[in-house]
Amino acid sequence: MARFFAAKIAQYALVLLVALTLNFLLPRFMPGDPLQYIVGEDIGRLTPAERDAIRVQYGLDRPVVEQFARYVGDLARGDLGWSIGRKAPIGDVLKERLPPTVLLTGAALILSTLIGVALGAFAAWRRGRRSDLGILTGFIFLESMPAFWVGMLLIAIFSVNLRVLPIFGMETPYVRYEGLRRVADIGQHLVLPLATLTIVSISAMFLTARYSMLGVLGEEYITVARAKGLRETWVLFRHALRNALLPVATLFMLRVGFVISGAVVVETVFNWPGVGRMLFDAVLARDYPLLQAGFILTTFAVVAANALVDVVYPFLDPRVRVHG
Amino acid sequence: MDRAQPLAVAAPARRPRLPRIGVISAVGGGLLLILAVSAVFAPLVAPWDPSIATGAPFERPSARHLLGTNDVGQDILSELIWGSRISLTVGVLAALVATSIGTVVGAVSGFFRGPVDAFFMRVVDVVLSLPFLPLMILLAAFLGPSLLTIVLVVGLVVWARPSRIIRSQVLSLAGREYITAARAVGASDTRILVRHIIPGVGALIVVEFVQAAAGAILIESSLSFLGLGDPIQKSWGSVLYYAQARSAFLSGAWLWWVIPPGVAITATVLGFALIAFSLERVVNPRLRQR
Amino acid sequence: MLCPAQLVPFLLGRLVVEEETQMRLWRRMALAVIAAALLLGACAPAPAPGAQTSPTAAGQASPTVAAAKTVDLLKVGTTQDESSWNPYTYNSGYPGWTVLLMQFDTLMAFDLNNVPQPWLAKTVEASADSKTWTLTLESGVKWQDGTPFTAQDVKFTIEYFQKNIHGRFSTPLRDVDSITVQGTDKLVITIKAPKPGWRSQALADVPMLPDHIWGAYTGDPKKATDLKFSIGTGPYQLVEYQPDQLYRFKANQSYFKGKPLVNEIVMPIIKEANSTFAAVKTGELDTTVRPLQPELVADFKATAGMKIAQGPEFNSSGFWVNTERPGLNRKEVRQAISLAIDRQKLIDTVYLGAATLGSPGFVHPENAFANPAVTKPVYDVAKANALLDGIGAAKGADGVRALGGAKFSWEIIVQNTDPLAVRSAELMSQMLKGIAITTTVKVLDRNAWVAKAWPEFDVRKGRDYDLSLAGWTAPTQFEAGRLVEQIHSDPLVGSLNVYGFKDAAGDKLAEQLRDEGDPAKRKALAQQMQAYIADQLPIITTLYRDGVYAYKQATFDGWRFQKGLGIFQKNSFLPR
Repeated sequence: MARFFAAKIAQYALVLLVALTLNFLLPRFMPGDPLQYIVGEDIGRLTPAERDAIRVQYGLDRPVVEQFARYVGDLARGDLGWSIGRKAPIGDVLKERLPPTVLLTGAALILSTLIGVALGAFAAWRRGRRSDLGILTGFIFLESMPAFWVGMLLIAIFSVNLRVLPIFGMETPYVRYEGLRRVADIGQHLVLPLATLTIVSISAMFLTARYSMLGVLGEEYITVARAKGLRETWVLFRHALRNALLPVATLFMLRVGFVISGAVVVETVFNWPGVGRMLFDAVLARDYPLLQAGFILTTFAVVAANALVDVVYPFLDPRVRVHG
Repeated sequence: MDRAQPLAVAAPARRPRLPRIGVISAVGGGLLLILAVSAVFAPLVAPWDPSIATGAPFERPSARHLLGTNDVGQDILSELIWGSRISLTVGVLAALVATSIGTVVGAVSGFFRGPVDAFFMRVVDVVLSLPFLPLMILLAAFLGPSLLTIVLVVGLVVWARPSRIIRSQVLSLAGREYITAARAVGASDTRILVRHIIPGVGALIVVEFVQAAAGAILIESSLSFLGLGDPIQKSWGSVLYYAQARSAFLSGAWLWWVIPPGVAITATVLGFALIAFSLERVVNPRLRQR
Repeated sequence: MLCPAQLVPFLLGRLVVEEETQMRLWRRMALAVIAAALLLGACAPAPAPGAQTSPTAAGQASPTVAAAKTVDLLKVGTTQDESSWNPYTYNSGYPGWTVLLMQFDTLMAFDLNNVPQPWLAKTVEASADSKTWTLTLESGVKWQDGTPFTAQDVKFTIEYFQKNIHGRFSTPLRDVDSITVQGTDKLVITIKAPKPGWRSQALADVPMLPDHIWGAYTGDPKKATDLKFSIGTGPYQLVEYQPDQLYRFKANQSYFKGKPLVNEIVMPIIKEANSTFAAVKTGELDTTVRPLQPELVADFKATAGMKIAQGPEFNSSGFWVNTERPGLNRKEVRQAISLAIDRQKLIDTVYLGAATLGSPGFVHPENAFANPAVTKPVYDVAKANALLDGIGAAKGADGVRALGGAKFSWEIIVQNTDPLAVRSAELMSQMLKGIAITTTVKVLDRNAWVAKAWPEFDVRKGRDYDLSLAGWTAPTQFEAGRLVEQIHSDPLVGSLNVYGFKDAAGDKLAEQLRDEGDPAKRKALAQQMQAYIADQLPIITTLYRDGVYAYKQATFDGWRFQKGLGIFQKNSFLPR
């Protein structure tokens, strides 16, 4: 068990190291002066002396190894750098951007899990029949649509033509609602991005739920339960579903890691003020420090979720506990 | 096993009472066939040359231009037909890169095991743990807009999953008697790999390739839409990029300028996904039994 | 101006539509208020245009006119975050600098024709050699926090920008030698070298900073993001900033030019053009700083309640030519390229008519110092071919011209950020086939483009391109002297000579233009320079995009179009 955890920790450290190295090397390997990735376009207006001063300030005149150590050290102290576009510490920018993203992708995760599990259980119950295959291909179809396109269509239909839902953002910008009205306002803005994100991300949940249900339904104790003459639905929900939820729970936890990065495209289409949109804006504004910090943050989230699974899994699955 | 990877298209249908799987693969195959034909015979199928203006800008659909014209007067239908070449090429090339790397890494790891395997599997773990889209945006932003960038970026990120699946198949093959026999008669490692192992996982490679192609086409369209592709190349993603950039929504043109390219992307990805779904059942003995 | 007969059906129609879409109560009430205001006020007998009282220095505009037009709230979509939108934190030239000047005043200010007029400085006198400048300030001007504005603030501002490098404002102030404050409202500034263009480049460009706020701050000015650093003397004060979300500006009721026409301006940040225009179309926004895209003009014109303001803008678009490349170093080749480009077709196809033909002399025909003799471009493929034949650039076996071993096969580089530019490049590439020149269009991201066309934004670093489809922003032709920067071969003088252009006659003309102080002679030299550019063509200007802006007429109809800047600028909000 201890060995298992040691190996895992080493693995996660490695992932972070790779992400850091990638971040560190990219600006230094691209053509042109790495300064343009640090100070942005203002570089053109600086005199050579001013440029050298900045180079010294950022330690770009030091050996590469020393620069890397410094970079990692800064990050470890929580210093993510300075956003060129926002002219603010990147930590502050991320702090603003996290709640909207967590709201949108968290809601989508929960919604897609609920619907996916319900339909997955139903499809497994009807295995091989017309309705099963119908739902199955339906979900493969959903997964085949580009997320941004789904979002565009929803905007075109519900916002531009029917005018029933807002077009952009998370709140009506010019009024400051309080309390319940504010919640309702955010809710209204949430509908379309949430629908889009749920539509494009639901299949994995469905397929996992269906697959594990099929496995459980074949187990002997289910057969025994059925033989006892209990009502089918009761068996389904009481025994099968509970046992089948294990892989679903695992997938859920892993997806938590992708909550932060999962909605780049959807947030962009809907102007949702989250981390995903921030990444896209950073590309447009050529705000490389912000882009890199976003990448580190999302990597960290994925690693944390994986670690969470490692810790929680033994408690969920008695078999692992026994063997482990 | 393999918890780190969401099961994308891995669900089996139970028991072999599945004549409808044939239907699914037929639908998938049919979709891809139509697209392949239109890609190969684009010059014959397309009503116009999409690289030149054959109408006024922003024409509505008419008998001359079934899907209207784009912002510079090029025929949208012809753009889509020619676009199938670019989109399919990007998808297939990226999938080729991904499955090639995946196959080599997977086969070598599974065959030699030991430190080689340990090393490669750590690398796979790392790649699978990096956030996918942010990584691609980061790379594409630094490397600049081009289709080659997209092919490489997709290829370099997608290979990890196939390599893991192929590795486990190789592991099970390597223990089989005929491999042991080949080894006993003194066949070299390379020979065993090339003659026995790779063909043994061939079908699985095809499945992984098809899935990777579906993913690559989706990713290409997303990156193009975000403006990280090459706007000169008429892929479906870049058609949508222009539709978006030239306000297709507000002018009502979305009906013929936004919906059709999206349908084309969806149909292609669906075609690949359905084929992969059916193939998987044929290839994977465990799934077939169920 | 709308009168009840027109207004009522319009508003009713609007209300019905809004009702259907579950319009919120506050919006309905706002509309009712606006309707009432319009019915009561706007249709009072309009004074004859000349009869409007011009605002006095103390700011007492005619109360009836001002009250009639005053609007409570204007919702204007903006394009990007500008941090705390003060002189050191804002990001963009437009709308960044434009809105900055709604908060901060300049000593002189551009009028609707972009001619600098006295502003904070009541009088501006330059010595004959334009080295000594004497300024008398308006009296009674106050900062938005109530502190009086004095000559000491001006001195402080100049010294602060000299000490704390700012990309835009430090450059024109670098040469300031001495500043002598004479009392609270007068000062004398001396400059090392004569600067005839100083009115536009410095006096009407650099915002004044309050000494009592910035003087007490010792930190990095780029990090001065507290809203107290956004206090200026201007008509609007930034009172709320939600990063990446919105800005809220309140009118400065005691503004020295009179009470502004709109009490509050809210600017939500909407980065996506489609969302912005959809919001304007549905009436959620009153207007946006974004120019309306050509394809939407017809649709918006047909939308009830929507009005379009259109006017010239001085941003130019065209080929930068690397005049160091074999073949492209011949002016005949550049002339042939210019002749072979059907500018009208570009405008009609890509810009749907909403652009002005590019002058071979670079300067927009509506510019005050434009040379009317050269502003009209000629499209003549036959003449272009004859020119090329004439210099012996014959077609090779592949049908492509060559001259002295240099094949006329080039690359056109263009940035990926502007889809219209990419489309134009494709069309122009096809047009050049007509004179047997082959070109391939290469789309680059911003950094890659800069690395090729203008490495490190420093022309001394050379260049590595053939043709680049690019633009120059409006300020490059706000003042005649700026033409020098593109033509002179010494990089320190010709800091915008991205073409590697070198010609003794051009240098001489540029120096004359740079040093001439007399306005009439200066204009003549500027026109001579345009004729020179039209002949040499290091830059082949193809078009200037028109500024087209859509706004909701019912909310505010007092917009004024400033040439080259559009409607959302200080002039629109001043009492008439």
